[in-house]
Amino acid sequence: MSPFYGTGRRHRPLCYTGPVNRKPLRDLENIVGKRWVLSHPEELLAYEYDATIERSLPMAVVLPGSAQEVAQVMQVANRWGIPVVARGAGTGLSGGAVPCRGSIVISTSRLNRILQIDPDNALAVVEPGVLNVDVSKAAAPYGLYYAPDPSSQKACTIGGNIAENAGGPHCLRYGTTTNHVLAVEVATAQGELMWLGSPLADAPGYDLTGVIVGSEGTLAIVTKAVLRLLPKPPAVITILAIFQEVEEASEAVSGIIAQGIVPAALEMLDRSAIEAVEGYIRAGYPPEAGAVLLIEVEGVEEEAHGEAQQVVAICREMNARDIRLGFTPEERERLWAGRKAALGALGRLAPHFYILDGVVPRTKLPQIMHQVYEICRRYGLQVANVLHAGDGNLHPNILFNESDPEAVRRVVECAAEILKACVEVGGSISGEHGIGYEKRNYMPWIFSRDDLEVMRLLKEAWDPRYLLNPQKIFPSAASPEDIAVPMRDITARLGPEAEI
Amino acid sequence: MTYISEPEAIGEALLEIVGPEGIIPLEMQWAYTVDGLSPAIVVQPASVEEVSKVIGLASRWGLGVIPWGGGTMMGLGNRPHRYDIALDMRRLNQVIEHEPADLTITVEAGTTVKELQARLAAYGQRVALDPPWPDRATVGGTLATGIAGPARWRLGHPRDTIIGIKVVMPDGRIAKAGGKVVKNVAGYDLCKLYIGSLGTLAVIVEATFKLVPTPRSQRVVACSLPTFKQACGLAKELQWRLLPIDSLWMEWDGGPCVLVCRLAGSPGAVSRSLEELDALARQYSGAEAQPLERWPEVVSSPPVAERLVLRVSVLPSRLVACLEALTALEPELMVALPLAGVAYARWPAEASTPNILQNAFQAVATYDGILVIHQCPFKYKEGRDVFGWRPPAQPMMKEIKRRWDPKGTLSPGRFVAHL
Ligand SMILES: Cc1cc2nc3c(=O)[nH]c(=O)nc-3n(C[C@H](O)[C@H](O)[C@H](O)COP(=O)(O)OP(=O)(O)OC[C@H]3O[C@@H](n4cnc5c(N)ncnc54)[C@H](O)[C@@H]3O)c2cc1C
Ligand SMILES: Cc1cc2nc3c(=O)[nH]c(=O)nc-3n(C[C@H](O)[C@H](O)[C@H](O)COP(=O)(O)OP(=O)(O)OC[C@H]3O[C@@H](n4cnc5c(N)ncnc54)[C@H](O)[C@@H]3O)c2cc1C
Repeated sequence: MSPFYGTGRRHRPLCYTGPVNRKPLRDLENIVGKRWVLSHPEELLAYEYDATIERSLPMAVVLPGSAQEVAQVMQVANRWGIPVVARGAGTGLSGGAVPCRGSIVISTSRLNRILQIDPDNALAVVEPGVLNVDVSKAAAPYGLYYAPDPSSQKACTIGGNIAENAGGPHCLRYGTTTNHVLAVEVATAQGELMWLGSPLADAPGYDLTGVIVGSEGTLAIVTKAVLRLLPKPPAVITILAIFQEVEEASEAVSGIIAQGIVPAALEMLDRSAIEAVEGYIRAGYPPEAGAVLLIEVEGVEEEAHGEAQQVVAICREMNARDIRLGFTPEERERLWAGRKAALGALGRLAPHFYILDGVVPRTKLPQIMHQVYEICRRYGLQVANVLHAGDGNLHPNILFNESDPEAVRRVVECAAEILKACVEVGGSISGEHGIGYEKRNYMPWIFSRDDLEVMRLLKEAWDPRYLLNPQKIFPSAASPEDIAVPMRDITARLGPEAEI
Repeated sequence: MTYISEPEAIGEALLEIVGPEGIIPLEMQWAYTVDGLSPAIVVQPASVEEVSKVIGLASRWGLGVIPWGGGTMMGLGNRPHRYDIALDMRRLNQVIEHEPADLTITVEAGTTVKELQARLAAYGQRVALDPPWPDRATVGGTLATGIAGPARWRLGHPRDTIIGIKVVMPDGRIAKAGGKVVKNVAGYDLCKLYIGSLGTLAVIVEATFKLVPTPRSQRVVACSLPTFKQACGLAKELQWRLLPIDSLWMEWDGGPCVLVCRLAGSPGAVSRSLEELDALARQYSGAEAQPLERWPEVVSSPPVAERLVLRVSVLPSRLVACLEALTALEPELMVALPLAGVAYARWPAEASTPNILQNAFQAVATYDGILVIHQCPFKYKEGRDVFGWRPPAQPMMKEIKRRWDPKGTLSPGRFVAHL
């Protein structure tokens, strides 16, 4: 994964430095073949990170070629008591795929086959390493597509999407990954393959697919998935509304939602993001604008046009200074270009940026935007905001230079304060990127001890030995070499409940 | 663990928790029979804390508790292993928080779906739950049942509409999952686990939903088609054209198939879609789409325990063949959701029930489907699993039940594989 989005990486003395036990490696080689087990330090370097600022080296990386091999690798890990971290494309934004010390990484990059497209039942059966965008490509000849569309869709995998319950611009109307996964085959911590859920509607039994989605690789490893496909809408209209002030744009978002309109997508970029985009690809956004909204409505012709009219009226009421409409695929593509390039463009503003993923009730959007600016100003940090505004999901991107360790510290502290502000207005600390390493010590901000203990029941039902992606989701224990320690003393300062 | 078999002692302890208004008088208890079993006592707690105390007490004393909502779906499930306390949730019927402009609402689980929808309608909103008897069905019961009906194509499954949940665990602890924002990936999505769990993992006490706007206009039409094939073909065509279909189902009682469709959306979109639908219906059967005054209630008579109702799930592409096979067993009524591949078939329960069951299981298996005995006189439940299907993940389900409810406090034995 190219670091085009420019997030900073830092070394921590956390990589596995102990002696490598060759015996488990040999067991792994016997399963997948020597070629598909990596253990030289220089090979391992490519697997020590995701798209966050954490890094840590695994003991070995295995690239299984089938679900059976994944299960067998789990058996080996189980026999030796070695933790296992699944890895898709490594585009995750919460440290989920960052290996824990001395672990085995299972990379799904060879499990990249689309096994079936069933147009009659609008289903796709895929392996976990398939790229998100390739599902829609394979379904396109049948007039179908896969709805969840994370901005990273050209790089990220279905396995990673399932693990994070990934969202995307169009999830406003169609729901996140969880609404589109009907069944999964998993390799359990004990090394068994098991199908969960069913492509048949209302199949009886506990909804185990529903809990695997969003479990961040901590319960089981997904080895196949049955996805729901949707027919393409007959009419789509994209609306770009340009505002002088970010408050007006935020009010327009609240206004659209309050009017009961659920567009397919409702995205926002603020001034810093617009500046970056314009300097990068010239999307035609006026650089002095305070914010732009990108709104997409779709359905049968009349439905789309009716909603477009309503949306335009609301934007005008909120003082939009310019509104542009796109009807043809080319026109629409042009309007989207700026949004799609936004994260790439931020790399132009600063060497690195730190992406947050807070969520607030949608009426709180104007208030939280104000707070985000205020908090960043206080820390002396520049911020560029890209929002899935319709869902109340904000991505403040804090710009910094990682060569300045003091800056890194300030960024993490500033980020924590912003997330805390989201929680205080009734929101949450992650809308789509997951908890991972990064935010696990913030979990007690939103969940009580009992809530977390019930989640542990689920973890222990699947993985009683904590072999699968340990150190993720649950707040850390107080161990000195713990990767999240710097965050912990920050959270400790933010409030006594920050620790359990 | 003290084991108390004296109903009087249980009664006294419960009375202390819920007060006299929370105990249903003896003469009303017959209404709480489950599969021929009667509870020793029926309680109606008025708060989450009371529910927690009742369950905590039941757990300490090793009693079996079955939660009750409106009681419209109590026929579904295996015969309970143990049934001491009926927990009637209907006094927990408050709206905790409704922020209309956020399109979210948090309600207590005993609220009926009708009350909830009525409150939301005042704000031009609705929640994507559409159970057949909304004036009786409760929010908690609907989630615990977890079946979507004819509205699923547009509104989705109840699982897609819930964003947060509060439950009382089988040991009396109160726990929540999710939150009140529409997008949230913090922690495991335990809401999913409770939906469709038939009250065997936890008692749902509060739920937070995302809301959708009430459509500005709606029209209901019915098309009569000679065969299942034509009716399902037409349904599919409507789906592919993405007409604004709010609800769609098919009914058959021995004559032609009637495809009933509710279109909803902006007036322009609805009237244009109606024309398209009418043209398609003519093309498929020569018959036109007839307007209906109101949405007929699916299997509209209230549940009668003396009937046999089977529920079939197959891939939509196999539904026609499966329905045809079932007609050979002469059901009096079949209702199907063609886009989902779900069908309900109903017989008057008679001596031939075991025979019908055997043949229906066989027929459905031919199409790789799943058959569930949705409702039947309890004597036919003896010695079988009404869910028919053993999910491949059954060992994990068992493990989850064991960890959640080690003492078997909640609806023991009712679930899939007698969990
Ligand atoms: C530029 C950019 C834009 C982004 N935009 C979005 C967006 O719009 N919406 C969004 O939701 N996210 C977005 N992301 C975040 C990221 O792309 C998603 O979280 C994505 O789902 C991660 O997929 P991946 O294949 O890269 O997973 P990885 O990063 O490799 O892994 C993520 C997690 O999934 C687990 N995992 C991977 N494969 C499996 C498996 N087979 N079984 C079990 N667990 C597994 C890993 O252990 C880890 O915990 C963006 C990231 C970038 C860099
Ligand atoms: C043809 C058909 C169509 C349907 N269509 C729809 C539809 O479109 N949408 C939809 O949502 N549903 C639909 N349903 C199912 C619907 O969910 C149920 O009929 C009804 O909502 C159950 O509510 P109740 O309050 O009467 O539950 P009850 O009958 O009281 O209880 C049902 C089950 O839930 C348990 N339970 C009750 N309350 C709780 C609680 N608070 N916590 C834990 N467990 C509890 C009970 O123990 C029991 O096992 C349909 C059913 C049929 C047969």
